[in-house]
Amino acid sequence: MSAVLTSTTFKSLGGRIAIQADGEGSEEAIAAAEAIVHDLHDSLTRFDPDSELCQLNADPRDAVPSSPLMIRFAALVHEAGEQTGGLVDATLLDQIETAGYVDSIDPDAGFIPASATARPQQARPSTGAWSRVSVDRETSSVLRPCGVRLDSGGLGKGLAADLVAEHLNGFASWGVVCAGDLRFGGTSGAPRRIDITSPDGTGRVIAEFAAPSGAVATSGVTRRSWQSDTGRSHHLIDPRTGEPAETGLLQVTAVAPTAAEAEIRAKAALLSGPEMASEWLPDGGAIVTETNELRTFGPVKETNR
Amino acid sequence: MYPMMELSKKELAEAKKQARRLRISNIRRRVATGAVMLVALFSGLALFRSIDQQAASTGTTTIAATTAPVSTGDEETDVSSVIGAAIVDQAVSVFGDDDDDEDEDDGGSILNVVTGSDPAPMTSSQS
Repeated sequence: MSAVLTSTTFKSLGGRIAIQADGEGSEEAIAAAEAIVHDLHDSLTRFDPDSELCQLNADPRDAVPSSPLMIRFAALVHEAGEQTGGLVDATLLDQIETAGYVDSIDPDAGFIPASATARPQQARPSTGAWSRVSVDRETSSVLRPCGVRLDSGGLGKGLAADLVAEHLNGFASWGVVCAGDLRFGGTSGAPRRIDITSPDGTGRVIAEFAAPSGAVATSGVTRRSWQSDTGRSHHLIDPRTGEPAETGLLQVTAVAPTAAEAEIRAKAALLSGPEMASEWLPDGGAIVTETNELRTFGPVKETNR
Repeated sequence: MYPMMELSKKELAEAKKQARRLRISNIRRRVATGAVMLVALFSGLALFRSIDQQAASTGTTTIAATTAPVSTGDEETDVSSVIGAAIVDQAVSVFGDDDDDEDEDDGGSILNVVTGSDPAPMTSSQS
């Protein structure tokens, strides 16, 4: 008989985090994994002016000495832009703030009716600033032109799940959910069922699949949304317009080997629209159109629970 | 009311370090308490099943038991049994509940102990 489930849940990264591991020493490992998430949050939050991310964004130097975590994040920003031809652009902080997302939003709060934070500015398309973000590992520095600001957003959650995964690798079974981005695996090789919920926020499971290891990320436009002067607005910016994306999709779930990769694929698929989304889902996934049509790909199958 | 004190960068760093140590210590205590609860619950249920001469099953076994109502919202109530139950509840809500039977809520908590070789389900949703 194997050991019982050992897990913890807590709030961080603007959402709920859950970490589970099965095996000897899992209590210590889970405690350390939780500390990893908290540390990442403290470093990469854009809502604390003392965070390393805010310090970097405000730094007038073009090369800024940075922690290993920031180096890894900045490298991921460049990789995401390069891999998606700029569709996933983590340098759109100006546009996100212009859309009205200037304060932390509790996703459990659902739709926010007031627009106390919206700024009446003209949205600007991306200038491809992600391509000018790079890292110098010898001097442990992040390089980018002064004024280019990074947004941790979804990439930060994917990175958090991957960091925890690296820490738990070796246990019989382990899993981590970082505000929707999840990663799982284990030496037992036993398959784990993954549920994907509806974009309506009811928690209804609309699709599922099982695998012994992997990562899943879900991106969508129905949460972290608010009322703006021009109507309903949300956090997912289309780099081609600089405005909240309207592509005909409400939600995309992507399966990938790592959580960061899953996050990149899910966002790229959502921004590509219903006809091209599947191109970004080589390992499977699910999309929900604005007419509430569900399409599944690869190992992901429709269900209703 | 205490007068405002300005901390030097070194003092601030040390204070942050101490806060982090305390936070990790609290996490460890909480996780350990939850694990002990689960093991105790599982042992008790296994004994009950044995006495009741129920046939042992292989593979995944999901065991559910109803306890007294617990409040997870009041952090001042630092009772280990409550924390243990809350951890299981929270874990089930995020990692998924393998029980398809959605009975009415009787005000209690459903404790789920997943044993065997199949890991607990996990849920991906919009963040």
